[in-house]
Amino acid sequence: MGFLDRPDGVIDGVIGLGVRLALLCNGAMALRTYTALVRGEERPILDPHPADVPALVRYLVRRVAWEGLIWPLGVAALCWPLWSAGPEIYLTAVGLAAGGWGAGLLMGFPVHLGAVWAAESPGLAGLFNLIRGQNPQLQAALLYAPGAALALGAVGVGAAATGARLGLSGQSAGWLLLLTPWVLGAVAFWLTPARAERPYYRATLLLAEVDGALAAREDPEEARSVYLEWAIRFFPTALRPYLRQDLRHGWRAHRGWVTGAWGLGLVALAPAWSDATDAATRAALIAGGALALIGALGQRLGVSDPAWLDAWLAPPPLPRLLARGLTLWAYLQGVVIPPTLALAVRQGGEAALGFVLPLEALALGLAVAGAIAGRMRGAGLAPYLVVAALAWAGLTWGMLTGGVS
Amino acid sequence: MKVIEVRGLQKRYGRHVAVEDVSFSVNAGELVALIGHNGAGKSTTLKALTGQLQPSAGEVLVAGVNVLQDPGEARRRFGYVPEDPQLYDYLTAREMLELVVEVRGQGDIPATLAAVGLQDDADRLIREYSQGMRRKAALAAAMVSKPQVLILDEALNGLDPPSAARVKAHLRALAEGGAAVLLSTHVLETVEKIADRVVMLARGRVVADHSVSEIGEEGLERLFLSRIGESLER
Repeated sequence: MGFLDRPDGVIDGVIGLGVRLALLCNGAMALRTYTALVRGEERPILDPHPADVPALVRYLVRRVAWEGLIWPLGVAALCWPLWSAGPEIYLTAVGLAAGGWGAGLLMGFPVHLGAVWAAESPGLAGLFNLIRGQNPQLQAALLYAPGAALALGAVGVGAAATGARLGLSGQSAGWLLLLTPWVLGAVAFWLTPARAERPYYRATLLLAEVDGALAAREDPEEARSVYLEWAIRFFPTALRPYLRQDLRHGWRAHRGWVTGAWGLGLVALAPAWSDATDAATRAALIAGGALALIGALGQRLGVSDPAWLDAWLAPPPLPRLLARGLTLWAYLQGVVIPPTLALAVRQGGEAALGFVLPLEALALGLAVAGAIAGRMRGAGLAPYLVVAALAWAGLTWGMLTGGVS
Repeated sequence: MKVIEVRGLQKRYGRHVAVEDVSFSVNAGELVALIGHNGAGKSTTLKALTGQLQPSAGEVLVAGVNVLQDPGEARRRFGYVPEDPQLYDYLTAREMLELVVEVRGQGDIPATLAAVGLQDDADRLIREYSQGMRRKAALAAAMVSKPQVLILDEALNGLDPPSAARVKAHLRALAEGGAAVLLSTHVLETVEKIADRVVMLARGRVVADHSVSEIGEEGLERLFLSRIGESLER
């Protein structure tokens, strides 16, 4: 709310804030209406019974409104500092947010019921097939429905924002436009209950089809394949059983960490994709933090290791530790590779080498630290975090002072 | 008079065929058992019959109403207990039945609670119930308004023997009163005791449709093993 300190920026500031809060409330209510109407836990309870669907929809609106009242109330509390700039400033922000909330609530129901119709519409099948990604085609309309409700709500919020600007500039008729999201929502909802019965029941069939399609897609071969398992054959025979065990354990129990490493690597790629002289330093700071974070997987693996089995079978400690360290180091490559490639493309091999060597050293150190922390199980997290933070700080200091790279 | 009609029902999930060309009917006043091995397609058939699943082909009618074309009206005519019944955990069984009676417009709550043996626990929250008691509550919710058609998916599983006997007697009485009852089960003894007819499914197809009195007590198990065994060996 820094705009309060700039008298000439108050109108722009409050409208910008109000629109953002309105869209937030709108999105939240669009999702809430989806849960209440389509994917709610009450659907399987009520499904065997006949329902007065128009009455049910009217009841759900009241209930979702009551349950979602925290949003406009929260905004009203959050915006309280605006009161010091004048009641009209405060009420503008709260009014815009309330409009977004109302539009999300009232438009959410018709949009989600419309999505059921759209999902089954042969004319739209081609479009949904194009935009469905990895999801079953029938699910695409349901996935995009909250976005559609948000877009429709944004139209109303946009008109309300225009009205608020006019109102704050002295044209009092503009204030009427603050009601636009409510009017649009009321019109959309007014048309809904009488048309709700068929899509309400069809939603059950649609969800069963979507769930069935997802279940049928489960490929046992795919479920068995493990990230990097192909690489085991390049290692000594004595190490292979432990590497295989760790790779399977990591992929099957903690897949989010492994894919998360690549996700963070892509985040580090953004600053690396530049010709700026400090690109490598900025990328290294992000990648170093990501390595420190993902390296904690070593401790998580230790916690989920079968303790009793390990005690009973007593595998040799060195190959076991080596395999765990190698597994962690391999997982950490997801963080290192994307920014390295970006630097190689933008600034050449030398810059990439200067970037990758300290990062690989850090990855190796963190892999060892993570593997040791895993041996300590629950007690290993705190020491690991201390070591990882120090190592990251060391890399940061080195990169900033030029001592590294 | 045919009250449940299944004609050429097919359900596919991608390449997997769950049921294929399933046709049978249930008359008013008849109690029919749907039996089959695990994964035979019993639940899929019942879900299609109750509008929980879109058939890939075929047609299902309940009391003359097409379940897909008029889902609300069809639901007014049948009571259904799914394989995994869902209930409001924060209601008591009596309150749950009051809700169902409110929705369906009629019902005798005390008599239904007694029929499933839940009268002494009717005022406890459903979340405190055992698995068997939850099933009794679901049965009561399906039966309370005395629907024309009752469709039960493994609904007697988990009931204690006295409750199971009571429910079986009640189902028999409902059928004799003119209702059509379709019950899926694995328990052949139940079929022999209460069913008028048995429809046998194997690998998604109907492999037998006989009157229980024609088969005789000894014959049901033999028929089950031979028809289903043959189908599984193929």
